[in-house]
Amino acid sequence: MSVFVTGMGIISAIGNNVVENLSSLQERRSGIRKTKLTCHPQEIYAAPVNLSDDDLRNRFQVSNTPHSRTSLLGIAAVAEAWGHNKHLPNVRTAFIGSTSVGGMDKTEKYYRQVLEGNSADFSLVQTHDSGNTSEKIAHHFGIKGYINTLSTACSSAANALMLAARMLEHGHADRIVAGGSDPLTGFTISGFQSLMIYDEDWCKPFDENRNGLNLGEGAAYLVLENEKSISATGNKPLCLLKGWSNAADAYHQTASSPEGKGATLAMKNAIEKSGVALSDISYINAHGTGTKNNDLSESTALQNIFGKNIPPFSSTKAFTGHTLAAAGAIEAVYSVLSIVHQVLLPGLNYTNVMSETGLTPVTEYKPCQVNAVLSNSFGFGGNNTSLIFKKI
Amino acid sequence: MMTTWCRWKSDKVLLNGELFFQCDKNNTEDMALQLYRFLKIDYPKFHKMDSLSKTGFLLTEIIKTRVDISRFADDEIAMVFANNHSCSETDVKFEHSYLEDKTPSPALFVYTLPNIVTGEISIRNKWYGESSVYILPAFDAGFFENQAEILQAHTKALMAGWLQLLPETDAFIYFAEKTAEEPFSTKKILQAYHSL
Amino acid sequence: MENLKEELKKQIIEQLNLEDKKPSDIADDAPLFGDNGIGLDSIDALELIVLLDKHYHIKLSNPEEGKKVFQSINSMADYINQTKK
Repeated sequence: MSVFVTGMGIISAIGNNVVENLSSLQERRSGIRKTKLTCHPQEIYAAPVNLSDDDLRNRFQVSNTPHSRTSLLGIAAVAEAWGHNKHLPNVRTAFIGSTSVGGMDKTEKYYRQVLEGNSADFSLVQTHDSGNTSEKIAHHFGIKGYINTLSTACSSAANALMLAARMLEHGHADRIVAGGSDPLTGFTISGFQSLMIYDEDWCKPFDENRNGLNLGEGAAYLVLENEKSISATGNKPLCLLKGWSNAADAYHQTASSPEGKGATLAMKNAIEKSGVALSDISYINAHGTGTKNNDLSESTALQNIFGKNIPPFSSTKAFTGHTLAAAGAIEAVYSVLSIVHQVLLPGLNYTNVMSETGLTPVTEYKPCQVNAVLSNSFGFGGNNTSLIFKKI
Repeated sequence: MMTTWCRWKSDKVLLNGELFFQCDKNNTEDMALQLYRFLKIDYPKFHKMDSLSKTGFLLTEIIKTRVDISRFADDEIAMVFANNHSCSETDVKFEHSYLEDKTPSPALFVYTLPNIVTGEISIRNKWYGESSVYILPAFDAGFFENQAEILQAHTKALMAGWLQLLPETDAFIYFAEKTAEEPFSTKKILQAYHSL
Repeated sequence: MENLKEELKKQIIEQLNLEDKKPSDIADDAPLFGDNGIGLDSIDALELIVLLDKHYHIKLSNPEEGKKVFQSINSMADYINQTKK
C-alpha cells in the first residue's frame, strides 16, 4: 500500500508558487531581508511573503468573510496543489491542516486597536482559532469530509503529512490534502527574541558563528493519494512518501538534548519504516534553524545515525526563514523537488565549519542522482518528526 | 483497549468512574495546586507550567497511580491530546506581556504552543514515544477510536484524551493498551466522558 | 542594600513562579542556578533579564554576561547598584 505524492503547492518569501521557489533555490536568492514590519516595533531580518492579504484575497477569489493571513496563505498553496483535481464520488478526500499562529495575526491587530482606544474591529477576532484556519481553507476548495488541524510547533506540517500517510495506509481516505501555514506576527517575533534565539543578522545554519534564527512566513500543501485514487483521478505521481516517524526528546520545553535523542529516534524509525537503505539516502533537508542549540543537536543526531557517512545535507531556512508550522510542508516540497529534478539544494550564508562536528553542508545547487530524501522537522516541546520521500 | 480513565470536570475528578478528588472551595489554592498536593508529587517544575500543561500532567499522574507503566519501554507509550482552543489562555497572557507591558515573557512564550503539555509529560517520565496534539471543534469519541490504530508495530500503549479548559476545565484522559481481549470502543469512551 | 535584596527575592519568587518558596528560603549568597542552588534553569535566566528591565530598567542583552550577574542575590544586587550609578 503506497502513498503517492501527486500534487504540491507553496508560497514563501522566495516565491509564490513551486516554479518561483525552485528558481530562487537554483539562483541562490534568499527571501530574508532587514525589514520593518507593521506587527513589530524594530527592524529585523525576516522573510515575508510579498503579497498583502488583499492581494491574496483577489488572486484566489476568496469570499468576503473574515480570513486570517494564515488561511489566505494556505488557500494560495492549496490552490496550486489541488490544481485541476475534482471531487469524485468514489474518492474519499480529506484535509489535514496545521498552524501554530492560527488567527493571531488578526487578533494582535485587534488587541492593539483596543489598547489605542480606537473602535476595534471585532471581525479580526473571529478567525482566531487554529481549527478555523483549516476549515476556511477546506471550505474554499469544497472539501467536506474529514478535516483536522494539528498544532505541534515546528513539526506541525510534517506531522500533518505523517497523519495523512497513516490514514491512507489504513484505508481511512483515498486522497488527502495535507500541510501547514503560518504568517509573521509580533507574537512570534517577540517570543523568539525573548528566548534570545533570534539572530540580529541573517541566520547562518550549521555555521560555527551562527547566532539564532530568522522567522519567515508561508504555506505549503501536498496532495497524497493511494492507488485507487490515482486510477480514478488520473493524476501523475511525483514520488512516494515512504517513511515517517515521530519521537519525543524528553529534555526541555524549548531546547534539544545535546545527544539529540529524540531526533535520532525519529530519523532511525522513519528510515526503518521506509525500508530504504542508509546508503540510498541521497540528500537530507535538515531542520537547521541556525540556533546554536538545534544545529549542534541535529548534527549529533546525524552522526548517531550515519556515522562517518553522512549524506549531503543542508538547511533551506537561510532562504525562507523559519516558517514555524509550515516548515515541515515547505521543506517537503523542496524534498520532492530534489527528487523530481535530481538536485541537491544549497544552504546559504555558510562560511565556517562547526568546530564540534566538522560537518559541511551542501552550498551549491548541484545535479545529483537522488534516490531518497530525508526531511527533518523538530518542534518545541521536543516533538521531532522525520519523513522519507523516495523516487518511484 | 481502554484500561484506565480519568475525568476532570469543573471541581471534581473521577478515576475509573469513582470520585478521586473534589476541590475544597474554602482552600485559597486553586484546584490544580490542591490536586498536586493531594498526589504528594515533588516536582517544582510543575509551578512554572501553564494551566494546559498542569491539567495534562496531573491527569497523567493520576492514571499512573493505577497503571504500572514500568511494563513499557521508554518509547512504547504514545500521547495524543486534543481540545478546541489550543493554548489560547496562555496566548492572551503572552500578548499582554509584549503589547501592554512591552516586556515579552520568555516563560510565558514557552507555553504558547498546545503541544508543550506532551513535552512536559515526556520530560517528567522520560518518554521518547510519539506524540501529537489536535484542534477539534468538540470532543469526538470517533477521533479517539481511530487514534487507537497507533497501537501497532512499536507503540504498545496510548495516553490520550481531551484537554479542554474553556469555559472551564472539561478534561478526559484514558490509558489504552493493545490487547486481544477487547477492541477499542467508541461507546466505552463516550460513557466514560459523560460520567460527569 | 538589604531592602534591595529582600525586594529581589520577592520579585524572583513571583516572576519565576517559585511557588513553595519564601524570601527567607533564599540565602543572599546561595547559588541561584544548578542543582546545588535554588534550581533555576535556562528559561528562568531569561526571565531574570526581563525582571532587570521591568523593575530596574537595566537592559542586559548578552546572556553570557547574565551568568556572572545572576550567580546569587548578592551578585544581582551588586550589579544593580553599580549599573544604576
